[in-house]
Amino acid sequence: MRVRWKASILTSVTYFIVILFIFPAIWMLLTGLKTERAAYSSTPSLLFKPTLTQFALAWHSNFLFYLGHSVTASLVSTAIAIVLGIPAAYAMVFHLPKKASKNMLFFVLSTRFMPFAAIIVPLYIIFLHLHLLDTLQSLIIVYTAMNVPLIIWMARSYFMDLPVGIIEAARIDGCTPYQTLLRVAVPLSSSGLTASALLAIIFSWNDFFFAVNLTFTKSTTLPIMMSSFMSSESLFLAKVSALGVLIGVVPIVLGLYAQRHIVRGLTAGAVK
Amino acid sequence: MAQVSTKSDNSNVGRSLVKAGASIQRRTVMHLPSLLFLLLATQLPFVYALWISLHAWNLMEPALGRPLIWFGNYANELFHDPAFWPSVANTAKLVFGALIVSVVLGTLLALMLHRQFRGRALLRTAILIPFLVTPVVSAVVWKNLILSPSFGLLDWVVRIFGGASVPWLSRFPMLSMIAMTSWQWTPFFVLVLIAGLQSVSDEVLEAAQVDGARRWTVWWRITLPHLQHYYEVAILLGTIFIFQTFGKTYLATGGGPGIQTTTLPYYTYKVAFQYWQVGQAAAIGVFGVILAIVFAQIMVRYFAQGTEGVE
Amino acid sequence: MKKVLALMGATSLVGMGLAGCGTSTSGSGGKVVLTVATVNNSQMVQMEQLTKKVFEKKYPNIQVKFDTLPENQLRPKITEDVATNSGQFDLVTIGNYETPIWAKNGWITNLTPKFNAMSANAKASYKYSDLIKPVMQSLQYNHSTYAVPFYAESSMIMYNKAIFKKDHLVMPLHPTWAQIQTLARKANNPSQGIAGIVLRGQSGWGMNLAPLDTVINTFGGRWFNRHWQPRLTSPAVNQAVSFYTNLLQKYGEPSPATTGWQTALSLMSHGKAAMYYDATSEAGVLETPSQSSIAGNVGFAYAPVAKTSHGSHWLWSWALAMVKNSPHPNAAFKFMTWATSPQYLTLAGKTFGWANVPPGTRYSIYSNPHYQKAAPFAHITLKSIDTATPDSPTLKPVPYTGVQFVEIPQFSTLGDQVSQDVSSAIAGRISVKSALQQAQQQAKTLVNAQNTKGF
Repeated sequence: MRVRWKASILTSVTYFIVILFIFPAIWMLLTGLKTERAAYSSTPSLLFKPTLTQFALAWHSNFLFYLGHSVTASLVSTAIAIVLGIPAAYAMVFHLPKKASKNMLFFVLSTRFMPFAAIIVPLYIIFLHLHLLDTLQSLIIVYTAMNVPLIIWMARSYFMDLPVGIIEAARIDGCTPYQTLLRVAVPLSSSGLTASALLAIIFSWNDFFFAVNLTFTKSTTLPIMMSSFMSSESLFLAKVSALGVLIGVVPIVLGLYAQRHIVRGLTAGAVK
Repeated sequence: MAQVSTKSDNSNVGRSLVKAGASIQRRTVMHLPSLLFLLLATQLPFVYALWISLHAWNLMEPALGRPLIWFGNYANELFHDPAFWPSVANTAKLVFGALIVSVVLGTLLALMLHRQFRGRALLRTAILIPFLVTPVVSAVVWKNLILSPSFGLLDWVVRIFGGASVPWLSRFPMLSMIAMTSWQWTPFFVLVLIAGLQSVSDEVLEAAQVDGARRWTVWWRITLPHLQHYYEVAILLGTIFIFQTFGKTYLATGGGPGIQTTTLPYYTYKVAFQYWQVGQAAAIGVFGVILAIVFAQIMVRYFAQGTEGVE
Repeated sequence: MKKVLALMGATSLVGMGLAGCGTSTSGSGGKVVLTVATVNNSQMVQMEQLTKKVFEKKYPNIQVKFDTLPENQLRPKITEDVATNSGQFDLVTIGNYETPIWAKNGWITNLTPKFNAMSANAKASYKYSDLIKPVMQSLQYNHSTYAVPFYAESSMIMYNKAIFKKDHLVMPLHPTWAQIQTLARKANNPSQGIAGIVLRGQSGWGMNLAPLDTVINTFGGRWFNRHWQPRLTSPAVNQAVSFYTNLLQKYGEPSPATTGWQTALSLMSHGKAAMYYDATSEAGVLETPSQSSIAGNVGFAYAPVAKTSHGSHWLWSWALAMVKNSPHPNAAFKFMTWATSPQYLTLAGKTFGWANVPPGTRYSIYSNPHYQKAAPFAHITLKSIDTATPDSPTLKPVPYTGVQFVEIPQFSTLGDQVSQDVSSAIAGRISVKSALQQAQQQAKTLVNAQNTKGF
């Protein structure tokens, strides 16, 4: 009896803490349902007349235009990152000598450490000369470069998890490395790979820095729409919250769908 | 759960076979496309940045040209720029601060959510939301709706308990930044650690309990060592991403008051796009890369050691 | 997984196709496409709508595209564009700080020859002389015009009449800073969450330095003497900065060191402050009921003074400039003269309401009865803009122009560093004295008589 009582207290505490923790996000949703004036209120109140005005405003400000760019840039870059990263990870686990594999991993991770601001001017000039400024291609190239290390890192973990016997068997059956990868290794780690793909999509989706610097009018993405909502002389909290919710829907849905896979994906290698 | 450990046992065996026979180890070019791509997409701009860093180049004064000054920009940063070292220190504070909070809070939440109770799946899902909210949006929300001494929720709570308004962002700028960053990254730690907790073999735990070990001892002797690698993964990835924090600084504090929340990536941006000293900014960026490489080396080495320890 | 991959492959092909289509810069059929970089204040957004509705109908061969961003994101982007000669924009929105510097750099087109070449009809309808003089002066370099103002502002006092009435306070039309301090002390009521005055304290030369510089000017301080030697540790500057920090710390908003105009404005508009010293253009927001709970209850007064009225109120303008290598100079000139014409102001007033007309650019709008009725602050705004003194910003002679900035390229760095020192002082982390010593040192390192030649 005492144990059950204790357990239900612990459960309540868990509920309380989790709700407290995500409250800023809940508050953002509520703010999106307010008027601009009500959004700035010193006595926050849960009782207010909700309005969909802000959501309508966000939706009607050419939302689909930006959405299309965001979807394309993040999906395409993730697809390319997968095509590039998975074979690399496979080679690192099953083909490369251990030292080479470790060096490559180190190089790949170190590319992610470069402060973005340090390479934005060179990138700008390079894209200018390639005539890629304000195109989705430029964003796709940058996001792919951001995502390849992530994919390699995660895919490497899953492949390390695979029983080598199966790979060996496929080889003896006469499969080339690519065939082995596609027919054996990828299907066996599919859930983890899906998770990495979703994570990569989310990171590209949320990028603000590159998008604001490399796009102008033709290929702007949702975070840029967001910043154009922060008007320079009127109140914008409710508007921005509503748009924030709209922009957040995609990563949140994807992330929640992927959560189980992500866990496995990120940590499978660590178990070793 | 037990399956995971069996699997890894298998592959351990497998890997040692590989090492012994080296039968699979054939020459391959499968890693070359991504290597080539990363070299082109990241090293080309980086080499360009290196070249720029050797020049005095002020975007706003084209009349001055871009004279080659060799390591002048670097020397200036190391010895003359009063904002450089504080930015390095701030970066370290932010990264370590947010990591510590995320680890502690993440562990606590993971343990709570690891228990069996009604609605567990729902809560596990909900806790992820802060990680998925676009960082730009979360900065705006935190600055105006949570931390603002006039309109913020936190202030409202403080006032309910009879306290006076606290200007969080100006009185505790770095702590506020750490709080905002941890809010985003704690769910990620929770996610990884729950996975870790689930992979602890139940049999081992039961055996330990049969042996009469106390809960605390079980946690300390069995669970925590098992989680070590999960912590490493989370910390490594967390470091990479927290190090790059930019949007939050930009929107919430603008690096201030003074330069108290100016981190290296933000400072690089500022020198390039507010001071227009492109050469100088490139040099700061190169320092950032050096710092990051040293750090990554330590981490990868530590990580590699851990791996070998298990093998 | 296979499905996911296949889907992604498909999308990537489609995506590349789409992206490829997007790269063509000019539309079909000889249509000229202009790209304009704008700041996203409400008036500029309204300009976008009117462009679609009116301008593009009138000139069917011209299509105008907008890249709309907040000020602090716009500036880096357009600078990157013009400095690398990348030609993404035909027209850019820049301030009166940037205009002379960009003109000197050869980045933007001299508009004077284009105005001279206008037909008599076009001249008569554009009415160049109707543009407010100090604003136009601040958009010149070597006596030629390089940008046309879309919007201009000065600074003034805005106050909450209800609080003033409750506390039996009276605001003079021409207050001094000493009077403002007294009023702030009397109205300050932290237990009710009401600040005596709200002012910008956040770092950034366009943030805390804007109001602070006007205080320094009117206290008789200056950035440099005639030989470009910094004067930031002089008694007048020290007195002004101490006054400003003291005012903020004692009677200001609760988190001054991170408060920009945005937060200050929202405090004021929610009745959480008795006074607000800031841009004249914010009066419109305070008087709009959907945005402000004190609309109809706002009083206005001229910018406070101390020793001199020179430089006591600032001058800022958002203006359209033509990028040097724009491939469509004639279409661009057509558009910029349309958007800054007297007819445009009437059109905007009729479409969006007179209170929202872009302020501060033309004398004629201030004699328009509709506008006078809709904007009770119109007179003070006009007078403040028209009497701004960017050429003699303070008591003593200085080698620079500009009220709330110093018109030299180094100022974007210097101003930012000094504003950081100031925000540290406002946060109480360092003393005003040591903040100013640091500022003086920074000014010495960055600026000298050689590197400021030509300004």
